[in-house]
Parts: sequence; C-alpha cells; structure tokens
Amino acid sequence: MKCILLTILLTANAIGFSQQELSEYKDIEGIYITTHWGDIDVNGTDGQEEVFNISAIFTDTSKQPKPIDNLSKYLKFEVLKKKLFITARTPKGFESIDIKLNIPSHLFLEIELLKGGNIYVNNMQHGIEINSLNGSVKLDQIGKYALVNAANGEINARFSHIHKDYPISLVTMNGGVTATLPKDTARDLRLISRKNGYVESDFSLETDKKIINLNIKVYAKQPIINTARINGGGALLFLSTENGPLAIKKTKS
Amino acid sequence: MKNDNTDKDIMDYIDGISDQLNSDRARGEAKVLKQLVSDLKEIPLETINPQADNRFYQFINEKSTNQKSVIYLKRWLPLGLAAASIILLLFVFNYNNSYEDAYRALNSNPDRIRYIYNLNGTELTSTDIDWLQSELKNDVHPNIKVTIVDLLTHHKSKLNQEFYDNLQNESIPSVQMALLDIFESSTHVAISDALLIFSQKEDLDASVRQKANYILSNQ
Repeated sequence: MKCILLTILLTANAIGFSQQELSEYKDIEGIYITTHWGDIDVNGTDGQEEVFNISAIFTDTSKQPKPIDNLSKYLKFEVLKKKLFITARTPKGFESIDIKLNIPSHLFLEIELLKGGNIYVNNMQHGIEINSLNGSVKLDQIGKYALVNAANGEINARFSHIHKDYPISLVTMNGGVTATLPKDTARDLRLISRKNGYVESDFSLETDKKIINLNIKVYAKQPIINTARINGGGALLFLSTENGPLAIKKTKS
Repeated sequence: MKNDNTDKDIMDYIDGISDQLNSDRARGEAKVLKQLVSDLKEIPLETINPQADNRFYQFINEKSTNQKSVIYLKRWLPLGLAAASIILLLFVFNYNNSYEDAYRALNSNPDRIRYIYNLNGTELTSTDIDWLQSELKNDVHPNIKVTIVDLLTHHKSKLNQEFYDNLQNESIPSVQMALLDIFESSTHVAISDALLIFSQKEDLDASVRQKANYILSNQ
C-alpha cells in the first residue's frame, strides 16, 4: 500500500515538475495544436483562476508512460500573427504524446489529431475547430461555435452559449453525434445518419418530412436524411454520421 | 449778434471758463439746460427683454454653427463624393459577380460554411456547380467540404467528371465517404474504373474501402 502511494506521489511530483508555464504567450488570440498520437485535454480558465500552462506524457512501445520534462524536445512552440502553434514532432515508429493544457478560455482553439487519440475540451468560449482521425471528441461548456470532423469516434458537444449567426458542424464517420444546446437555441438542422441510426431530440423538430425513428431508440436500416428547424430556425446545425445515432439535447439549467 | 454773445456766455459757463452769466436770458437758458441734464439723469436705464436677449444669442450661435458646417461640408464634400463613387463602382462591378467571388471574400471557416449552406435555397447555374466542384479541390477544411458535397447531392445530374475525380485526391475519410454516397446513386457517369482505382489505395480507412467495394459490387 505504501509502495503504491509512494509511486502515485512520485508520478504526481514528476508531472508537476514537467508542467511548463505559457504565460509568456498571454497576448495571443488563438492556439493551434497538431499532434499525431495521444490524448489532448484542454481546459479553459478565466478570471482569477486563469492559468496558462502545458504538461505532457510520453509513451512509446515500452508502454511505460513518462512525464516529459523537456517539452521542447517533443513539441515545437511558435507564434505567428498572434497565433500560438504547438506542433508535436513526427513520430519515429510508435509514440504517443498525451497533452494537457490549461489556457485562457477566451482564446480560439484549433486541434488537428493526425493519427489517433481522444480529445477533451472544457470551457472554451471563443470557438473551436477540430479535425481528428481516430478517437472520440468530447466538448463541454463550449461557447460561440464548433466545427468538428472525426473519422472514427463519437462526438459529444455541450454548449454553454452559441453565437446566433455561427454554424455548428459535427461530422463523423463511425459513431454517434450529440449536440447539447441552450433551450432557446434557434437553428436550421441538417441531419444525416446513413446507417444504424435514430434521432433523439429534446427539442420540437419542425420538418416537412417524417424523421425515421425519431425518439425511438431502434437502429434504422435505411438512411436518415432530413432538414428541420428548432425554435423557428436560424443558423446551421449540421450533424452527420455514416454509422450511428444523432441526438439534439437541451442544456439542463 | 446778441444771441451769439449769449450762447458764448452759456458755453463759457458750462466749460468753466467763466463763473457767471451776464444776462437774464443766459441765466434762463442755463436754468433750462440744468433742468434738462437733471431730467436726463432721472430717466431709468432701458432693460432688454430677456426673451429677446436669448433669441439674439441663439441667432448668433446658429449663425456661428451654420458657418462651421459650411466649412465642414466644403472640406468633406470631395471625400464624400469620392467614397460614394467608389461604393457605386463596387456595386456596379459586383452586381454581376458570381457566388464564387462573394465566397472568396470570406475570411473565416464558419462564414464559408454558412455561405455554402445558404446556397441550398438558391438557383445554381452550371458555372456555380463547376466552381463548387473545383472548391472541393481547393478548400482544405473537412467540414466545409462535407457541406459542399451535401449541397451538390441536390444537383447530381449537373455533376461532371471533375467532381468524380475529386475522390482520387481526397484524403479525409469523412469527405471520401460523403463523395462515395453520391457515387452510390449516380447513374449518368461511368464511375467503375475510378472506383476500382480508389478502392485499391493502400492508406484507405477500412470503412471507406468497404463502402467503395460495396458500390462496385452493386454497379
């Protein structure tokens, strides 16, 4: 038991030491992350609790995760026109870099995950764009808008507020797509589920064509392709999957 | 002559040159003069009606402002006319411009997606369709591409070989899949050869390859 506790403490200590301060980039307007393998966890901070730092864990074929002390060996930091680009090195063989970022919530965020890993983003208020190949995308407390493209993995996006004129586009190939919106959100919907789909909706959907398996959790054999409106319509909410269900939920206030 | 002497006596008296008047007439005249001065002093000062006063100042202010605006107008009139001319020229030159030009002027990905989606409610010419097909090659954002492909599903009969060629160069699996969905229902273009080449690419996602093979087997 003591041994386990000591291991946890040492790991936590190592992770703590590997954290790199990014406050020198406080004047930037957006962060653009490009990695190959590994999870990306971004947490937006604001007010008195605003922090700006990064830590990372490296894993190779030995499958022994190691906190990275010298981040510049694995990640390149570059500022161009008030944009901070964080780019992972090209892997030689298998290696993954799990990245954890605490950043000001007012920044724009773009993530490109070229090979695989899960993406978690919490409390980013100025828009987010994600392109991911393999892995799920989970967004919570997102503001303004989101454009997400994933190949294999579900997308779950919960919005705290949405800019009324900005589109939201959540597209995956394999996996369900869920958008959770403030209850007064007015949108034009484009719903595409090519197979094994159904549509769950907390909102009343105005449509001139019947939606197959609406609020019936049975996987449809045929494609579900509809346009609809919620709360009278507005900017676009595009939800698309080749394989899986769609859900439009209301934020619980 | 006598009157002249009397007047001189009176003036000398008033000016302080002499301290006495030499005739009864002069003394009489002086008395009338003194009374006149006394009466003048007793007349109250005439005060101006305050409303008239205000109107006067208002008039002065307006005059002053009007004069300024004239100068202001003179200074900005040429610039205003120039700006109006430019706006007019832009309007004239843009009036016949295509959706493509308007799209090119957009700076952000959300704006582009919104623009493409809104084309769903408009009549598209073959030129517009050609542009949208080529945009699939030019644009790099996957969500924009998927929105374009979704728009083009409503214009399948107008799609030409260039659209189908996009599949060979596309590397994003979700866009490949969206393109294949159009391939699946297209009957006016021979696509088997293109599909066969595509399905043999080494780096294809398993789901995409499966879909391509499925379409090929049902041709």
